Amino acid sequence: MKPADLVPRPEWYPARARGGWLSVRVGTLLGITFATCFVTGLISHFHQHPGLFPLPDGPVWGYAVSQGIHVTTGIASIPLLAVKLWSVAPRFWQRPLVGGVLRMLERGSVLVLVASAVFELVTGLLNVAEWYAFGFYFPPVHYAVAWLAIGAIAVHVAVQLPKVRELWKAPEPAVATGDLGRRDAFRLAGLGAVIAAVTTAGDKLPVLRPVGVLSQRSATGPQGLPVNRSAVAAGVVADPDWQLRVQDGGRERTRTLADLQAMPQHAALLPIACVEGWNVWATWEGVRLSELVDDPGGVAELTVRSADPGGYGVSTVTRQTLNHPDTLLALRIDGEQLALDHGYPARLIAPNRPGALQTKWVTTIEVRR
Amino acid sequence: MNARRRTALVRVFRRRIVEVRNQQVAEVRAAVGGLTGLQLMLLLAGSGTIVFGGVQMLQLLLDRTAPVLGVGAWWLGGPLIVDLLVVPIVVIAGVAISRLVPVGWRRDIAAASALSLLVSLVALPFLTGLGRRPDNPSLLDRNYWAGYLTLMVLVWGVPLVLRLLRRFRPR
Repeated sequence: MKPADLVPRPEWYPARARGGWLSVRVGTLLGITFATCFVTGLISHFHQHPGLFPLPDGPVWGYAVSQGIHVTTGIASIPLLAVKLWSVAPRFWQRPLVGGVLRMLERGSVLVLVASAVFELVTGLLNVAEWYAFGFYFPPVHYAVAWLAIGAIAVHVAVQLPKVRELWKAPEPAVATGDLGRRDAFRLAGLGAVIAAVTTAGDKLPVLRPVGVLSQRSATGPQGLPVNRSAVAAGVVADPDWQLRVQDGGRERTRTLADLQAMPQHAALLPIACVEGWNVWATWEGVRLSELVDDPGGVAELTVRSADPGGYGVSTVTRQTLNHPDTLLALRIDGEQLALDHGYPARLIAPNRPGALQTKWVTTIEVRR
Repeated sequence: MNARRRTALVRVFRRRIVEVRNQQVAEVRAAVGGLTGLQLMLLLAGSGTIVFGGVQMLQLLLDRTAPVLGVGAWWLGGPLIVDLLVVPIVVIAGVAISRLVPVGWRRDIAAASALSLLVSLVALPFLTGLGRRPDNPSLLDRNYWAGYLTLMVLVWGVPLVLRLLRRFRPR
């Protein structure tokens, strides 16, 4: 026996339900979920890097919906990708294992596809479960690999297109009596995707909360609102001498909490929509951000700084967001003073914006004109 | 080896290289020539996108935002673990089901096992509870094991109940 005989062959895998008929059907579903996940992921990236691409300041639920779709399509892709990889698994051992230029290019593109697709789903799911087993900073890496994944999907579709057309028309091949058929496997993949989506979406749609047994949140927390970064994690304590500084050109103006409370108060019903997919709505009350600066129409952008020294302790507000009537420096939630975990004494809240940019424990507003 | 023999060998070797190159070029040409416009467009757009993603990744690796070993292991680890570990185990489990389970039960058992595995893949990170933090009780605030076990009871119970109903249904 030669060593080469020990390398598995595609024929070693019993045929049963796997094969082209199943692969193209699950693959088509995956194409749809990955494309949706990619586009909503891009939207999230543009939100977090203002200036790259202009985004509207509404509807107020925009980010809650787009990020909910991003996380849900990603999670629903996990059972689909698992069935797809199982279905095509024998092809890993197809001869020639390496081959000529064409074969190497094909294998290389499939490697990029499988590695990037698995990477995106695994790191994304772990990030939602806040289990940072991977040890690197998630957002930029997840973003870069997303381009690898979507590019490799396009190449894969290009290469397989004739086969996809042919197999979509093909009748379902039979299996031995009593065995799981291809249609059964396809239905299981779909059912798995639906179960994954529904059970993790309880923190996105309140009607799904009772069945959302695998959801990251269930809307508990101080004042009925979940917290992503606590005051303890940010190293922030309530400061009795707190003052808000507004720096505009060479001038600086300070206001105490009492000053802010004496200003005209506005209320807005807005969601906190987390990058991790959950959203919870609340009525926020406080001072319009635009009323804290002179001539808000002439502002290029604002930098809002927090007592939180971490990366999420600073955010940029565009002129468009600044001038939205619902963009507030909030002092109260549903009539109560903000809990310390929600940013006491004052936090930023604006429509159609990721929660990570709704800066808490605001200390300084820097105006750029 | 004398000089003449060496020259002859080099000539044969060169001829072989040219042969292989020509063959490879012809193979690639034939493959590209057989593509439709749509395929060519997808291929170019996809390759460009991969290059764009690769450059982004390279920048992250060079400025040390992303550790080479960490990202490399998590990226390559996926296909290696899937193809060399998980799929073989699933295939062996499938063979075991087809050998050990009576034919009348096979489809239901295989379906329930597969669905259990698919749901478990998503449930696992929540079940470990390793993302919980003492300073933030609003995070991962559900009893995930209770929910997961309920799901498992449903995944295995529904086919069982359906079987019983079928058996006792009057013909």
